[in-house]
Amino acid sequence: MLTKSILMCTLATMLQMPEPTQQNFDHWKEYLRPKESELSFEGSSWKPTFWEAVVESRKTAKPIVLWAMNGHPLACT
Amino acid sequence: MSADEVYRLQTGSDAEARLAQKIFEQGHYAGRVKPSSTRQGTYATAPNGVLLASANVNDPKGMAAMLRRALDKWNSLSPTERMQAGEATDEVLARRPEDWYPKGGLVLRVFSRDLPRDKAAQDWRADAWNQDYAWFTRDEARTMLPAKLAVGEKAEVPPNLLARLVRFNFVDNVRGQVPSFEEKDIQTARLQSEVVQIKDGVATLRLSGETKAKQEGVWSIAGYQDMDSPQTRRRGVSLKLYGTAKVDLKAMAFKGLEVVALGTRFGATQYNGRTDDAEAAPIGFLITQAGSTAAERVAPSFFGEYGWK
Repeated sequence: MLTKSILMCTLATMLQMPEPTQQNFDHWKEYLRPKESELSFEGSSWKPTFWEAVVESRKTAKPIVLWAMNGHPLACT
Repeated sequence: MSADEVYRLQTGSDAEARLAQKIFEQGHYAGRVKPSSTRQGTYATAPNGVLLASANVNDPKGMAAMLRRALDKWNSLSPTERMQAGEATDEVLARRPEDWYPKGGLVLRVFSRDLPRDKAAQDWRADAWNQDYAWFTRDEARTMLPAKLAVGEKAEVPPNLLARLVRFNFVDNVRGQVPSFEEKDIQTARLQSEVVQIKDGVATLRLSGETKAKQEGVWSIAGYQDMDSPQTRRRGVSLKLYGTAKVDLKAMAFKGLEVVALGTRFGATQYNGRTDDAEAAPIGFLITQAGSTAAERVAPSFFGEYGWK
């Protein structure tokens, strides 16, 4: 029974799975590329290392905002 | 404003890490060791390490409230209180992965996203996406191309280079971080480049291939909830690839690359948000050539596994 349901699930997934071709390439490229709104966080001119912000902060006497995550926030987190 | 990887800051010992640790231990996770010792979040701080405010939130209202608290505290500090007794900025810092940025090589930005399906999530997970980078040196990038760049010439991308994408980028990180695959997990890895046009000093190549990686082992799949009771699990990603690349013949350098990879994923890992979504489902990746902004020079997540010295 379990094997049958796994097979059915796999078959259903395969039916939904598109393959990339020259014809559908542009469609999937735009589907996968993040929208401008999804990349809006990049507009904040983040310095990619904490230390760069520290050095600048000491020169400008301004506070620092540090966004620190498991995995670099500007890459994979 | 800065964005950085928290683990290196938490565990390092140079001036940058020491200052970060001083800030972290005044913040929202100060002293915490369970369920995790992570210090991730957003911190507002004076340059000398006096914490202004902090939070680990992702809703705009919570973030705005934290920044208002920070500004109030900043305004309450004297110039001396803001600036004195920080870490010296002339200390030579420990090397970080970005020091190995492959100048003149091929830097790829890889986006991941779920493909449309019948059982799509109805919350934030419906639009979830992620990204990471892949680095190849100039010499490595050249070996991806036919020796002779003439129409009809073909080449197989060397297995060790394609493995870098399969193990570190073609992973189900759509909703969160995931471990890499191991070399032995790769079942299929084939990517062919073929020159289809030479025009105005630029070679256009078609890229096509397929990859498959499967892993079995013992791990958790529900964040902190099952972290003490890992069980035998399986996960995998199977993809078909298609795309194009352009190579400047004079500079012998890539001047554009776009590859779409579509296929299926199954399984879950501790922090990738698939606890209730482990059945096989469609997934897609878009590989593009990264630009040259500071953000696009951030190292790949699994750079430590590249073996570069």
